[in-house]
Amino acid sequence: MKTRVCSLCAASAAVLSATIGVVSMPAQGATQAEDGQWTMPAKDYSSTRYSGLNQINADNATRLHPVWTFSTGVLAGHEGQPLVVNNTMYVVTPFPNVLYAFDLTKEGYPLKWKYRPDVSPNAIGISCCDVINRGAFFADGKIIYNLLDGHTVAVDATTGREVWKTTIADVANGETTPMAPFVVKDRVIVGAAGGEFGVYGFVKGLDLKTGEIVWTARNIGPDADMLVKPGTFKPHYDKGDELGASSWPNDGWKTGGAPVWGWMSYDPELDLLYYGSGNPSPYNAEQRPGDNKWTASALARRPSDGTLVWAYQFTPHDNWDYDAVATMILADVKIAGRTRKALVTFNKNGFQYTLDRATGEVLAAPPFVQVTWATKIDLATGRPVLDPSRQTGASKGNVKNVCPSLEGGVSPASPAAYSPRTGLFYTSTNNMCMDFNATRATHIKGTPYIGAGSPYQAGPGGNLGAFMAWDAASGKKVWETKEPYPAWSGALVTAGDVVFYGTLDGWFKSADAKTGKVLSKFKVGSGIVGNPITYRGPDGKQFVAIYAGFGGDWFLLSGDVRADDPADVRPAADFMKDIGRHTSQGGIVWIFAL
Amino acid sequence: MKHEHTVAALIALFAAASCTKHGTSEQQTNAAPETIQYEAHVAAGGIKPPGGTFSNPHKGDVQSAEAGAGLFSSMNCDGCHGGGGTGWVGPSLADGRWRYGGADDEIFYSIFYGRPKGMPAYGGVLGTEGVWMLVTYLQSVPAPDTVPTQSWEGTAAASAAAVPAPAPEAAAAPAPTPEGMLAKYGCTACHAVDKKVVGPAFKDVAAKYRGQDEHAALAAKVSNGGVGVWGPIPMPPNSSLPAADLDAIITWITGLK
Repeated sequence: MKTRVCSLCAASAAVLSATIGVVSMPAQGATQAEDGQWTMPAKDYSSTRYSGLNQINADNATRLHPVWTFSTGVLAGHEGQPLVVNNTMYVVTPFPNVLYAFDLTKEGYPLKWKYRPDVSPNAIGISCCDVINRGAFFADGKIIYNLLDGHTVAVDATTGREVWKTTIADVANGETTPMAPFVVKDRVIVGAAGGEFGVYGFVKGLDLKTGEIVWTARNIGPDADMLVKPGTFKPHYDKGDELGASSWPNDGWKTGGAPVWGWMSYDPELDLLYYGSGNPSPYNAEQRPGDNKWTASALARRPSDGTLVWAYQFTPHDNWDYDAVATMILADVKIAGRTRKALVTFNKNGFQYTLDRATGEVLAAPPFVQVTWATKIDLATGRPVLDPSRQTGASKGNVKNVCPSLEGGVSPASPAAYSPRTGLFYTSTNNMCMDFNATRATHIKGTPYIGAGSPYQAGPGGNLGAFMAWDAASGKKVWETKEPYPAWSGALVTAGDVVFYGTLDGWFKSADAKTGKVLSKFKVGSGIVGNPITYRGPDGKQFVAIYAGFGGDWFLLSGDVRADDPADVRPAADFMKDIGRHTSQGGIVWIFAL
Repeated sequence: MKHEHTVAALIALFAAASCTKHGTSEQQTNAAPETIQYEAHVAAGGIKPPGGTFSNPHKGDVQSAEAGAGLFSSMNCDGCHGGGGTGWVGPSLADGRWRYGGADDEIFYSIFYGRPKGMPAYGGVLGTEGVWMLVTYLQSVPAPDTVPTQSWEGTAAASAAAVPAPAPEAAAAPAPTPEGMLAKYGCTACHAVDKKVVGPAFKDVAAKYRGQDEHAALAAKVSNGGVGVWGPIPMPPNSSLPAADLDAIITWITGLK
């Protein structure tokens, strides 16, 4: 009993000191004391996925090798990342969302406990794209995460007992909840997916102690629903009242999508929470003339009460499924000779946006992959300059060669990293284009509301993916490693100037952050769609952890990787016929060390 | 207990819908209760439980299959099972294999009542006729006649697709009459001439639109779909209807008295 109380104290103290560290060094996370833990999805509030650990460096990373593995017992896309807090590693599985707690102080890392929630299997069919989970957040002695069926749970980090469970979404309405919650002060911020089901997209703020829903903010719809309050909403470009409703036909916003399934960031100095909204519903844009605000947008809110402060729409009237839920990294970026407090994001639509994170002004927006739907982003208006031949809709038939594909120039499922040491951003990318054939869709609650077919093909060069280092100040690629398959893992970069990522065909790689030279690679048994983390073990050594577990969109597209269901036998994907030669489904936690 | 209620309710439902009902054994005498054994199920002790099965009244009917193919798209089935039913977030329905059994009524149950892994219950929206048309369509999709082996040996990666993709169905000759078109395009899954089925009777539709710019208004409704005019069940869009066929159908409906 005494031990339990003490370890809880230590965990609380750890998060307290981490919070203080973030407050004093809001944007960078770089120079703050490195506690060797990983307590939130993207390492810090700035979402850098940068660790100050440097034992593993460009000189010795060739010696990286696996030191431990664990089968989660689940076959599905293992997105997200583990947490490491107080010498305990926490792993959330895809549906059915089991939470494992491993004791890193003991040989073989035995389980302290596992928590098995009661999750409705209906969520399997209502989730658009495999039954993935993007991870947990540690705060206030609790591990907080979403169950796929529309619930947020808080589990005591020491005992594994459920502290609270809150219903935040309704599967019967097409809402599922794969994102990782985000905790700011005493608020747990969560949202729901469902852009393929015509949801009325939202985020909610829950009380950290009780789980009670304190506020609900829609991403589309009337000002009152969006928590646009008089005098507080100051977008840089689109000013006016009721834009979330007036930019839709009739009541289109009621089934207009704008789901939230990606990542969040927080600037303590500005007290602003940042996140992106997903695609408008249905895909057939002719059923929803107008800008469809604020779908495919960045939104900045006050975390305490949800008040909307600014919003910027990356893709007005999206007609290519360009969700804007990718990670938003807060960093200082030098633009035109001036260091700006920026928000950097790699959008599905193929442009890398650098925004002023106080106002939502676009400072730069170069393309980072092949883009054909627009020629550029007009910085004066913030709007894309469209290529008329690549606009889609049911009356336009099959529109060919739209780049990027709706998998995105990078998938939001694959968060980028930022190193304050190199000043570079690191991200997986997809080199894919699509044909887009829209048709009219009918909204039937609880069923898909899509209205498009979109076959893919490889972009220029024939490789389907890559991993790259990017300089946001110049808007240029610094180095790139081509990958044969779409690149779908997140990135990790460290003070040892080593960057880590995984590939869809199951290689876990480390590379020199400055040059891209591959330092080590290991085949982990199943394709990687998760995000690497690093931490300091109880013995003082640096470790790196990654999930293997092919899935996400690729489970739908390459259903031939399946082997567990004799009643589900599918042909290979036409654009990626041989991925099944290199991987099948899996679910393995790997830990690497020198 | 729940299952018994379900079976009883379904028997009543099917009797009302005058669907074919037959026992599994032709040797049944009047006195012996009917028994049921699905091919996909094992009977404990080899003893079949009492019960009856139902068979698809439209099995093998080309027009019903085409109507079902239309519903498969317009009712959003393809959003989860993929175009042609080749599998997406939901399992493949084109591989000749069935998670919940492939007997007529097993497929019917899956669609009508739903399944607990997120397959929505469509019985309320489609009714028995609509569901049977979907069953007919799924049964018409040619299943592979060999056990699939994926091989990457030999020729380059191109040989990887040894799992046969379903062959496209041969296009049937266009239906010559408006009534034939209504069946072909799946309209009769939900509508009848003089009584409400899932959707309103064609006669009631004709009456409602009479006196307006009825031809254009109704053509737009059929093409674009909609909801709310007759209640909460949506009318799916039929934007791929050939213009001439649409014109013939609308002329026929608006001519009903």
